Amino acid sequence: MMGNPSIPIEYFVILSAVLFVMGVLGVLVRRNAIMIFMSVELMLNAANLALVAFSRQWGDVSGHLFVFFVMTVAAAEVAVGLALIVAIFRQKQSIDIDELHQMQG
Amino acid sequence: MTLELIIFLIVAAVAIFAAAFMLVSRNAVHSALFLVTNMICLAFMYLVLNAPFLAMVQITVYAGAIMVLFMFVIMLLGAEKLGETPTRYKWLPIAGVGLATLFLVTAYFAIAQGNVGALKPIAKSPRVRVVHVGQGVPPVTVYLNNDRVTDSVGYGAASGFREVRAGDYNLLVFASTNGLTPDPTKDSPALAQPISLRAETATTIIATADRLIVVPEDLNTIDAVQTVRYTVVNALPANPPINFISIDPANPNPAPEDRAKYITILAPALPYGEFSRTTTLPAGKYKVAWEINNQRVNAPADLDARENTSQLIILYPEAGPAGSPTGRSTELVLADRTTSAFGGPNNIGETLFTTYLLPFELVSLLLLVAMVGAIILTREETVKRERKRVVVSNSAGVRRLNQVSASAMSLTEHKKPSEGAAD
Repeated sequence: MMGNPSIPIEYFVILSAVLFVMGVLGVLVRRNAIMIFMSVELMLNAANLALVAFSRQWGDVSGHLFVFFVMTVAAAEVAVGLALIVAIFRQKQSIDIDELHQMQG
Repeated sequence: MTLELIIFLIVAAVAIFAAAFMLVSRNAVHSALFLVTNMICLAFMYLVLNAPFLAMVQITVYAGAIMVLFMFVIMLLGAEKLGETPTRYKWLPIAGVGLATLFLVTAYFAIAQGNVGALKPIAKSPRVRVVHVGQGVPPVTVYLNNDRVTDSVGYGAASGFREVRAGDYNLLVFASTNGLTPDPTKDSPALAQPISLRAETATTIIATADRLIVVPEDLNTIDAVQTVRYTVVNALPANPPINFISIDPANPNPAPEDRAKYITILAPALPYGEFSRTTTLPAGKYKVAWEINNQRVNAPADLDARENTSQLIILYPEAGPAGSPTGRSTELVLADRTTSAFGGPNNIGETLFTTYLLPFELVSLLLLVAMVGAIILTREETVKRERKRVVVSNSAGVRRLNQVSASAMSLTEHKKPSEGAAD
């Protein structure tokens, strides 16, 4: 039933870690709010890959269900997030997060 | 290095490069397209990992719907042309890359030495059910050691499956005439025998008049499509071995010389108390019967063999009115769905609508709330009100700041109270 031992699970987990780190870098380095959102999507995708890989390893379909829920939450997050970006753009004519520092610390 | 590994490495490289180009690309539209490439690579990875349903959802929902939304907003705002001003935090990119490298090195060692590949699938616990086909025997109650498996099962009936822990048990069968629940520590069982229950199997305990027939079945996925799996049990006491046959409806009673043409023997020479080897059959409708020395012992019956089921066919003596023996026999067919293929739409659907029904409802609610939220956020009035509020609070802040600075100036000789709060 569980096929494919020719690709060890470690490869998938390492790929997932690399993609996740690239997503984190995107959030830290880029200042365009849309780019930050896309980096967050990349991080979610990387986490999904790890979930599916471990799901196959355990032979348990719960991991797939989690991925399903993550996708739904991502869709909700993108809908609200992009609406926020549109609202901010209308107000400030910019989506550069460095220009949005109303709360200064 | 196998071909699969080579393809994996190529797709992984494409995914990583797409992510890298997404990060460094100056144009937001290019970034979005690189992200789509990355997501398609991940969908391929899901296919490799036995998750065909998620691969499809990944392409339709992520690479399709969500990225179209991104593209829409990018084009709407003209954000692809918005260049980025130099950041105020010059150290952030360097620190970010440093921390990322550190994390990757740590994660690499954790993954390489953490032995994640040694995790093994959890075996499904064994399941047990009881079938009562003993003519003239009152309803039976079955215990495994001291745990009751079923409530009393009447003649010709079958209980549902129950999960138990794998292991060796002492199987005790009590025939309850008075309708009271028997006590396994005190009462003496009608029948008893040791039983060994293994993981991943579904065991059927068939109680006949004088013995117990224990039939283990495998309810895992049938690999071939359009196939049923069947096991035949002979619970007809004191008879010579029985043939279980399938009859061609075109000629239900062929002449002896045509037998080979119209009759297929599905389970040959089955003695009392035995069960046949489990075999597979193409799905479809069959006419089946039982023979002793080429004589039918029951009328031909219809067998509806639906695909992806496991059929347990039990031949047992028929009881007349008030349990009197009629001398005839009948059959009991128990059809159980085998588990669906791992990661397929059926499997996901079954799990989603049983174990994960509540989270599923909550997530749908979340989507609804997000939709309402998106509408409210982008309404013209909301934006206007927000703009007004920001202006008011800014002017109030400036006024307060002036007071603070005035009092501060009057008390000390400081020139500027705060640089950051003036925004």
